[in-house]
Amino acid sequence: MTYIIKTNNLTKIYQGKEVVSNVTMNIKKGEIYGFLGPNGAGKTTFMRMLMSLVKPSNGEIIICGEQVTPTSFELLKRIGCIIEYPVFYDKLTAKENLDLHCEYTGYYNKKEIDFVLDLVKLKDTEGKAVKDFSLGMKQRLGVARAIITKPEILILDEPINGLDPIGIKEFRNLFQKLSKDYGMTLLISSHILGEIEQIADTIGVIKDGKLIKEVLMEDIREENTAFIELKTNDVKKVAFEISHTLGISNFKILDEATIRIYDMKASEGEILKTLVVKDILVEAITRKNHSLEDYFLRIINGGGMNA
Amino acid sequence: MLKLIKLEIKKFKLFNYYKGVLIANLGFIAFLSMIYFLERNDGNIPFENFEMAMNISSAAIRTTFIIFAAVLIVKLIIDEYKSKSIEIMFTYPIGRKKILTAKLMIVVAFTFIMVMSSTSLMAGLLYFAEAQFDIFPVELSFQDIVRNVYVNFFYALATAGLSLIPLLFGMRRKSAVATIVSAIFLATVTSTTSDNINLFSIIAIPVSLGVFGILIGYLAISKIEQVDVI
Repeated sequence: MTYIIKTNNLTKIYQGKEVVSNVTMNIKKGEIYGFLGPNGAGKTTFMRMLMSLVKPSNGEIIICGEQVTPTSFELLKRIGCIIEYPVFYDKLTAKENLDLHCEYTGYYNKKEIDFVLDLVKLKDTEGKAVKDFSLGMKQRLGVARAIITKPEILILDEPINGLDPIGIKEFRNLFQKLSKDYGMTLLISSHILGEIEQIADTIGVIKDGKLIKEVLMEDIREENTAFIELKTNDVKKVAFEISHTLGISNFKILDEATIRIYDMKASEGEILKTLVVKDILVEAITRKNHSLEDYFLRIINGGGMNA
Repeated sequence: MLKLIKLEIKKFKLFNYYKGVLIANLGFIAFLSMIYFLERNDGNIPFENFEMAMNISSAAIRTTFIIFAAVLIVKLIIDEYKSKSIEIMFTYPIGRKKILTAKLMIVVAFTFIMVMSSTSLMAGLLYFAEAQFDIFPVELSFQDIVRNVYVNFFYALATAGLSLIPLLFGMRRKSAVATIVSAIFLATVTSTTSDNINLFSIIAIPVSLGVFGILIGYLAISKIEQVDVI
């Protein structure tokens, strides 16, 4: 497996506090890596370290097989990024900003400027200074700037902040396209689970500076199926009936009054009917989709499984 | 490096400063003429000689362009830090030292060229005025002019160096106010003239201030690669 970004025990200490602590992250070439974590978990600091803006206190970063040092500037040519709030030269127009960006990165295909502006739907902003842009428009321009030179790696810190729902959908498609058509590797951070789960191939969860989980989306989807939750006054009887009468073995007794049935071969109606016939009191029966959100909330609140 | 300088000029549209420079030069002329006419009306001798007139005008020029340089420092460096656009600059495949050196070179070169050309302009005008209206009681010799060119060149060099001193105060907290205020202070101290003598006339002072300014510029960029940008 080739990893395009690899960190080993990456640590950053600010004023005696470990903001990022021993993060060992592996990002495969061409994948979309979703970087999840609550506000202040260390996502931005971690991404800043990848961009050499912040220097690690400990540990190492390897990008494209090369170890990052304080002076590995050439490597930056291969990375496009938005870190936090997208910043521009406010008095210049979108086009002038992109033009400057190309000059500084040493990219001379100026035709691309119109192409990317079109791609992020900012084509009709000619003559308008960036200071008059809305946050959403700045975010779009930020993405345009990050992708214009077709870098191998895209590091995007909260790229959907300030976008409207249509914009979010457009960006989702754009990111997938960049990954599939151009083979770019994307590292996207967010605290919005719903967005990440739709596009990411791998998810890394960070909490209090520690990477507490790194999993493939496929694996999570398999792990997290729907279930039926049943409330009753006699869980033992219920357990007996569903296993003997209905032949269900995949269930779990949560407490004295709650039981969860993961086997979906019996419908709620069937289960209810069986129990009523046996004169067992059912107080409530609900079908739940154990969403990814629950999964991650459990990880984040529980402090992690392999932390 | 030249390309970086060009990009900085393009980015901040620095050529638009020509208006400010023009106004400043008109100001110098007005200032000197005012002294001349007021003093003469009072029955005094306005300028004893060419050197005295040049001392007054070069002090005014120095004051103006030290402050002008501070404005440039604010625009090129302090504001970039404040608006965080320096982060964008530092994510380019260009050494941080190179980026900042380009910026400082603009400040130094601007100050040098402006001080040099403004003093030359004033010298030329004074020479012309002397030839036409005989404004000095003593004869203006060719040697005076040659000597003046040397002195001006040297002063312009020293001023260019010391124009970086406000960086010392401005960079600490990335403060525009600290930069400008320290420049005004510096300009006042080096240009206050009494009895035709100011701090700049004592040769050791412009030399050491100029060297000190360059040193501050060097210190500002020497460790920039190890520093976190937050």
